Amino acid sequence: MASKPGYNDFVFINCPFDDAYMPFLHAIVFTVYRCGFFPQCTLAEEDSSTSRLDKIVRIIDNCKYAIHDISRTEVSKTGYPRFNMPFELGIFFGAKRFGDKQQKTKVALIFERTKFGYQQYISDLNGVDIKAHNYDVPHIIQSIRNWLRTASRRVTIPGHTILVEEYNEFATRLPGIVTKAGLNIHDIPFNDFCQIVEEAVRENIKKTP
Amino acid sequence: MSAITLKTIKRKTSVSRAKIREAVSAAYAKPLSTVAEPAVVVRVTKKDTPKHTAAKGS
Repeated sequence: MASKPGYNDFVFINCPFDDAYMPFLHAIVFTVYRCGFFPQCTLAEEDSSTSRLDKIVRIIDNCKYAIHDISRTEVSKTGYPRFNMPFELGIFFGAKRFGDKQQKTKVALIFERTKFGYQQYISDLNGVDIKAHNYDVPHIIQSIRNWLRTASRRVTIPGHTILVEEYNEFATRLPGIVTKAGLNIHDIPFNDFCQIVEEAVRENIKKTP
Repeated sequence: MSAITLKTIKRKTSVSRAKIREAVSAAYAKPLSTVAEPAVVVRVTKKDTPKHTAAKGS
C-alpha cells in the first residue's frame, strides 16, 4: 500500500555526494524509505533555471525531518574546507528558530565521524546532540531508525536488525537490478535509485508478517 | 507489528517505472544465495550531470 507523502514524511538528506560516500547515501535512502518516510535531496532536482540555494531552501521548507552529515567538513586539495553541509544545517536551524508554527516542529539528526570532531570547526554546536557514525553502515541505519522512531513516535517502524538485514540483501541484489533495468552501475541517476529502493521496500513489506 | 505505509511521489526517472519494477521483482524472486556479492561500488549521480569515473575496487 502506498500514499503520497506530506510535510511530516519528508526527510531532507544533507550529505556529501562523492564516490566514497555513496555506500552511506544508499543506506540512508533505504532506511528512510523503509521506515515509512520520503527522502528529499538536491540530487533529485533537475530544474537548471532555479538556483541551488533556492532549491535547498525550498526542500528544507518542505521537510519536517533532516539528516545532516557534517563529517566531510575537511580542507580540500585547494586548501579550503567544504562548507555546504554546515551551511545547510544552519539554514535548517534558522527555519526552525524563525519559521512559523509548522517550521518549529522540525527535527534534525546530525552525524559526525567522531563524537566531538565538530568542536574543532563549529563550536556553536556545543550542547547539540551529535551522533558519531565512524562510517559504519549498520550503525548509520540504527541511528536513523532510532531517531525516526523516537521523533515520529510511529510504532510501525521495524527494528534495526531487520533493517540492516534487508539493506544487506538490497545491496547484494542491486547490481543485478541495475543491469536488468538497463542502467549503468557506475552512474545511477538519483531518482532512478530512489525508484529502485521504493520497489525493493515494496518487496520487503510483502514479507512483513 | 503492522507494516509501514510506503510513501511515494512520481519521480522523473531516466527509465520507466515499469522497467524498474520488473527488474526489482525479478531480482527478489531469486534466492539470495544464488546472487553474487557486488564487486563494484555503485555510483548515484544527478541525472543531468552524469559522471563516469571508475568504481573503487573494480
